[in-house]
Amino acid sequence: MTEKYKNLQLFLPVYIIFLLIYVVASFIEPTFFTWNNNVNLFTRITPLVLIGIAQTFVILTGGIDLSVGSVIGLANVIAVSLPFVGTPGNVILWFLVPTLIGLAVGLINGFIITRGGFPPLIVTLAMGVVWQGVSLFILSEPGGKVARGVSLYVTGKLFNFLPVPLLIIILAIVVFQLVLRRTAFGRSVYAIGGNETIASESGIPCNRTKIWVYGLSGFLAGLVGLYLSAWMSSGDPLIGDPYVLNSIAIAVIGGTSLAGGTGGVLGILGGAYIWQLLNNILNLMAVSMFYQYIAKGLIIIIALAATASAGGIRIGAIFRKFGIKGVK
Amino acid sequence: MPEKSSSLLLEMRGIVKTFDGTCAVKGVDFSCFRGEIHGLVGENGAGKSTLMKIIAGIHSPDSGKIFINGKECKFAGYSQARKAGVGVVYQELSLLPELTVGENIVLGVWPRGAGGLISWSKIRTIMKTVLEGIGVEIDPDILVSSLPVAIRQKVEIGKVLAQEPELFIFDEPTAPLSRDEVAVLFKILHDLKKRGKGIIFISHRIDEVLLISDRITVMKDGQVVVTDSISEFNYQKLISSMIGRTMSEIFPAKRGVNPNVKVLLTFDGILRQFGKRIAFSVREGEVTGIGGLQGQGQIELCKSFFGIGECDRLKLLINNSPVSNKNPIQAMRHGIAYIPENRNEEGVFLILSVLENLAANTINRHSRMGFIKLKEERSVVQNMIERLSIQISSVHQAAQSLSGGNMQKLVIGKWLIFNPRVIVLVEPTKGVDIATKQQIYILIRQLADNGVAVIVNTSDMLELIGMCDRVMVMNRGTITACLEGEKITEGKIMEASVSREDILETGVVI
Repeated sequence: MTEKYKNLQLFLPVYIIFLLIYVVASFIEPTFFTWNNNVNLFTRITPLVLIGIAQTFVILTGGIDLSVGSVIGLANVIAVSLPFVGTPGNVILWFLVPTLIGLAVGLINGFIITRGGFPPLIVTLAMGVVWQGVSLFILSEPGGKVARGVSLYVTGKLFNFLPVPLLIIILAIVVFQLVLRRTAFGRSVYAIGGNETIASESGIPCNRTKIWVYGLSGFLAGLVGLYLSAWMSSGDPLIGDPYVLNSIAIAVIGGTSLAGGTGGVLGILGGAYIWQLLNNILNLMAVSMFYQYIAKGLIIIIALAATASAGGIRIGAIFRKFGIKGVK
Repeated sequence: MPEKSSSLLLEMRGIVKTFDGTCAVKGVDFSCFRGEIHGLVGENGAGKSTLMKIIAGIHSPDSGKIFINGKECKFAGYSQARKAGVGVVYQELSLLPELTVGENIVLGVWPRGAGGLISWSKIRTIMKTVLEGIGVEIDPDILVSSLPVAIRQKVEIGKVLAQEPELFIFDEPTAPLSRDEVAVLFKILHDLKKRGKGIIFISHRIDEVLLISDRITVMKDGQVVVTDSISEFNYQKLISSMIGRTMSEIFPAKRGVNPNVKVLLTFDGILRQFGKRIAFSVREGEVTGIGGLQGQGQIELCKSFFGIGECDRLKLLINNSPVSNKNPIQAMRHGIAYIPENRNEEGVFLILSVLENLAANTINRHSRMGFIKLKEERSVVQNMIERLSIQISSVHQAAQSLSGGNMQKLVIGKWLIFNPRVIVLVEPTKGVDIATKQQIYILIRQLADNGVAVIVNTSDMLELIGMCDRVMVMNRGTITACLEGEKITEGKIMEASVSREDILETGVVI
């Protein structure tokens, strides 16, 4: 494949694997291919797509954000605990407060990482525990409520046809693809992941860019927390926990290298679908929760082996990584 | 001259080695006698290092034979070559900094004691004899990372001595050393020679090779140009056989120093590592070379222009007005460009594309409201690719798939797009072929002709002499000579490199 289609080479395998799983699932379960089931799937993968994008930006700079789960929880409990949640008139505040808090929390992460020169892994892990504590302080057990009507933002349909989650997914991927490829900010993200020393010696504002990348991650995590509050119509301080692993898995399956500098958001939708469908299938097959964890962990390792060699996912790379030769 | 009685220690016949289609060594015959110091010279990329790596078993030759003591040898790695009596003192020190001197010296030859455990008492005896043999007193329990470079060099030699080889290969051992330290090293070499060892001595410093060698082999483009005894060589003959042509064929014509031209830049500061003041000025359109032995503060000085060097009380004037350059972004605002030495680590984004590399430091210039004007950016990049004749298949190609010369062009190209007023280059031609070198020399001269102040730090003596209008020699963190015009000679540069006198405020116009 020529260099021009490098992006395609990077992301196409994700969608081929997704289509395969999708087709197989449709044959096994006839109701799978219905419009209703698909709308249901959109609703489920929207938070995965958003948090996958957040993690992708961070990973592209060569970092990682382990606090996304806690920030989702924080935004979630704030969304259901605001004093005005009962009144429909304050929808804008209901929207702004949790997302802006998410943004602020992310900026703090970025600030500590860049100013202190600390490893992102530790900083976000530690800050995640801090925000977990704050969430539990605000709401110690699942509960709370959202304003009547806001759940429409998740279950509603635009013009009685287009499901809102699908709209969110399309908008998010288009916007963030543009940000990555067409803006100075996006170019800086790749440059920092490519080599931070060279980036800084090329006049790229590395620290500022990184602070905003963690800010963006926090903002999107806040958005996910909000989405979950509207979807569930209640809050749960621990609701974000699975999203740490989910976000990393989706970013990696979506073709982004954990070393930073290569990848992007185009593979995210496929990554989120694969992750969600695997969950569904494991559930449908009534696989015990314990085995599900084992399976998920192994899937991430396999995805890592496939993306570890730069230049996109290569199935053969999995076998080569583990010393099995002869597979292309 | 090798004694008549001395026997042939190493003989190589018809050695050929090819890497990815390029022939690095083309049918080379080479030999070394016992009790001989054999100088091996040639430009970067002439094949010296490849040939030495073949002796050391790191590369195996495609064809040709190697005889040691008349016995044919085929090595499948350094450990086998080491057992056959080959010891290599590397140019880039191969010591592990976080181990002690003693641990480094016995690394890989761990003497065993009772029960197969490592015997520290044996290690101490070995170390004592080895370190005494090279006339150094170092505490074997000290960490290598805490030693100065010259001492580390001795530890490196000690490490090789501990293996008791018959044949020594010294790959540019004098590069980090001062003149006194070189004298000590030469004494060690003479001792080894007296003990009947064979020594292959690789160096870029012509005068040192002429001083110590018994025979000299000159390599060029993977072939031996000439092997002859020392009495057949003089300075000029050695140079011309090394480069295969005269200087004026390689370097574009100099412009020379014109005192009437406006001073563009004045530097005044103290390098933290050395604590000595450096002050000088550069005129518009002048190519100023910075020379001297390695590690005399040249790189810190160059980095200081860009706000990444350790320099105190720095006063930088451009067009007589003070500028602040605390970080690269500020320095770039004043039109300063810095091209670092190490392409892979400091110059090129290996995993990013050619386009992303070339456009990296002008992103903001080619964007409006944060959005990049792709067409404009693309055409600027395309022009630069044509101007530098960078060999690529697509602008989306990853930089890591390019050759060394093309990577160097990427680094230079991105700064040409930036259009600087002051450009600082560190080793701009390191590891590139002669054709690319010539292109780079022409580019540098073009930049100067367009009024840019060019500052080049290079360890290549020929570049200093052939390319620079002015040469400043650095020694122990300060400038010891500032040579112009006819005064730029190897003799004068070397003299200043090892001189103990400092000259302050060379050519400063304040």
